[in-house]
Amino acid sequence: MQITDAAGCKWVLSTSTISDGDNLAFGATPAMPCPASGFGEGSFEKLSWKVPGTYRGDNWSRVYVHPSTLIFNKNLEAAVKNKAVAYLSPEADQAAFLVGEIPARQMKVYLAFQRSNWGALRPFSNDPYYVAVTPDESFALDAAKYREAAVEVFELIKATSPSTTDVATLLIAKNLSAIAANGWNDNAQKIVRNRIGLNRNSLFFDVREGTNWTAQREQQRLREERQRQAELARVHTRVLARYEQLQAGMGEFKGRETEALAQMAGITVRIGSPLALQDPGSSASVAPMMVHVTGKKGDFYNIDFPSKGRLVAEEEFGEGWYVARVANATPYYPLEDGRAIPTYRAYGVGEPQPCKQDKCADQVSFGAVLAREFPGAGIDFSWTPEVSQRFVNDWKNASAQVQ
Amino acid sequence: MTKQMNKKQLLIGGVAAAVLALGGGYAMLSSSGKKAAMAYYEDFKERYFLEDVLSEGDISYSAFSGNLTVADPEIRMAAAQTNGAEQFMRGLQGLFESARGGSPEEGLAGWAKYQLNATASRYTAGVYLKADALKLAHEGDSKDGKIHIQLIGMQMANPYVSRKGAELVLVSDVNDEIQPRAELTANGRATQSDFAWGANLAVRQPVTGAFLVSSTGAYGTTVDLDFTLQRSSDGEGTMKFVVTHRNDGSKVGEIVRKADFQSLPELDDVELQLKNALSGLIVGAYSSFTGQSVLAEAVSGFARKAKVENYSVSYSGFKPLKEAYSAFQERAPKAKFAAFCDEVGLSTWSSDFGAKGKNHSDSECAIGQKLVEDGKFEEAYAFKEGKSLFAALFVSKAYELETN
Repeated sequence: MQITDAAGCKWVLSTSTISDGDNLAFGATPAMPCPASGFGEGSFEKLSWKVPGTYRGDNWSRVYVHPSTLIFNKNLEAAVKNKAVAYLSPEADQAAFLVGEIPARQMKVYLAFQRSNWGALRPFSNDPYYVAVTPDESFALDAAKYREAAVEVFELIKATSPSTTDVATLLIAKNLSAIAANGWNDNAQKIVRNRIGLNRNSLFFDVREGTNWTAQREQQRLREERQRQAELARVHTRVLARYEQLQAGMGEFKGRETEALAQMAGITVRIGSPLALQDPGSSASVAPMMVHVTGKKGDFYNIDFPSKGRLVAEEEFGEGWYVARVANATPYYPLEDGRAIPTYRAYGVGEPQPCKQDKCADQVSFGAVLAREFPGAGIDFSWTPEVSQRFVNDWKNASAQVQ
Repeated sequence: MTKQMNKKQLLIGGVAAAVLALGGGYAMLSSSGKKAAMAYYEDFKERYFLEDVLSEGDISYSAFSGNLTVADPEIRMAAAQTNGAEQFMRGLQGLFESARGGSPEEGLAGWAKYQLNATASRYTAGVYLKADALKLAHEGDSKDGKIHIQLIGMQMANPYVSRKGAELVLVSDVNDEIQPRAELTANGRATQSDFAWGANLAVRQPVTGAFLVSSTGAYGTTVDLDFTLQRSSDGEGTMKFVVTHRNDGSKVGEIVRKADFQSLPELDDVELQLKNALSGLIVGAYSSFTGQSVLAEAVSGFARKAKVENYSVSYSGFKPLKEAYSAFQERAPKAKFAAFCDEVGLSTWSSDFGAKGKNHSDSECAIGQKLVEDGKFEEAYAFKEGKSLFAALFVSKAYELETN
């Protein structure tokens, strides 16, 4: 909450202590010389404020008021003077000041100050801790690189803020907001937390200490990866067994492998018996069927696969092989020479697309069959046994490494 | 009957089914005049509960041939009210419930099941029978007489029928409503129709060679049925049943069944068995298991009383089957004949595997194969003297079989 005092200086105070309509009495020693901005700034021996007629009020000795109106203990002046506030938490209990950048690491380095947000806000009085922000967390996975980065950050701080070199927390995160709420926020934004600083003039830092969220995430990822790998290996072992089985069954379909595959992939390649085709009960369902269109005669397209017959369609069919969605219409068309002709009505979306190869070989494969039987195993049309074998081998190798 | 049932042969089926296919009938005692013939016809209709369902064209009588001819006979009846005699049906069911103890897969019961499976699909919807003419002729009496029944030009179309309430519905009646539309419905179906389609009993009888129509799709076929049963006063008799398939008037094929009886029950009695057998099929429309019991019971009743000298079946012609097989072979050059049977829906149920010899079967599929290969299928049985048909078949094998 921003308040203007009798001398025309603006103050920022916690809303939790001030109610609307309160009159505030301010005191400053020496007197507050409000600069052009109108905000109080500078060093003071004593600052006080009070709501007359209440117990509410406070007074602080030896403080520094930063141009942002944030108030610090006098001993922190050197660390924050002439630096801009880069971040202020919503509760105003965390503030970060940019001290420099390491362009090679796309890294910005900050001093972060923390104070209690309970009750009336007091001046920041604790020593700052160190924060670095970078999108690249890869250094955290390697001890040497981690140390290198941490030291580089500390060197920058030492160079730009010589008054703050004590051993303190170092937090490296992907986003500055990671420091808010005392770190109770989402760990996903954090990379590492450790302690670094000068202790009796020598650098204190140990990569094995602290918390390494990136490494934790990596371990979790590896665990999940292994589980996924194991699961895939299990499924693909079954896929391979099924493939063997299908192959064995193919012997029966010598010369008609494509048809057998299409059938297994859910494409009709043989029609029902003439009696079954007469059943009107069968004409409501629509299913994909492989057809070979040989020409057009009157209202009908002639087909000679799966058997000699006819196709009725709104769309235009050229000569060739198609996988068409059809319904049985045999019972509703007149007999030819006393014989019922298998007749289907085709339903399409847009212009029918002919297959590129005879018997639609380009539309059926073991992959298509297995993808249907093992949904979610990541099998596609171009599947070969090697694909599944690779999953199984990957897992074998991974297990071997662990042992 | 159930006690002796085993996997032995069931040729009996052929004999009895031949008879029941027509619904049977026999001459009344003094049947020489038109009046008597008409009276017989009325009686015939009443016996088979056809009064309400049979519509007929002109009825004429020829004194010269003794034929009573009913033009354009047409039967439409939905299974809901088969013969309009539901009470009758329930009574029959109760009567034969007791026969359920038998093992249904074997022997005669197996045959009865085959007969019913051939006629029923998911369920039997009813009977639609349409023919050019029904001719009845009869002479003599129950002990010494002759029955001659012909059904000319029976249409084999309409293998599936449905019903709306008690009314029988043909596909052609509701063509526009049930055929796939140009656009799919919201739920991705080609048509929205709540008719339930089931088998038409009249055109699915194996004995009429219906399977030869169904396997080629020749639903334009018409069938002539010609049945003669003759008995002389000493009890000897003959049966001849000729089924002729025609397409556009020309003959496609022929099935001939012949039997010589050493001893035939009196025609009255035969007629009773026939009626029971017919009932079996009708009951089957309600409950295939009960229908099966009724049918097996009726047939065995006949077999216990008859002594057969010989019986033969021959199928000849049926060239369209060969054409269908050739077309199949083009698509699947290495497939076995059984695969063709599977594709066109020919049953592989054989009345006997054991007793007939290794390479012979009388299944639809086997008949089809012989027709394709040789243009004919033949079976001839010669029975030993003195035994009833039932004993010869089920108690101890007492016949010899010759086949082509």
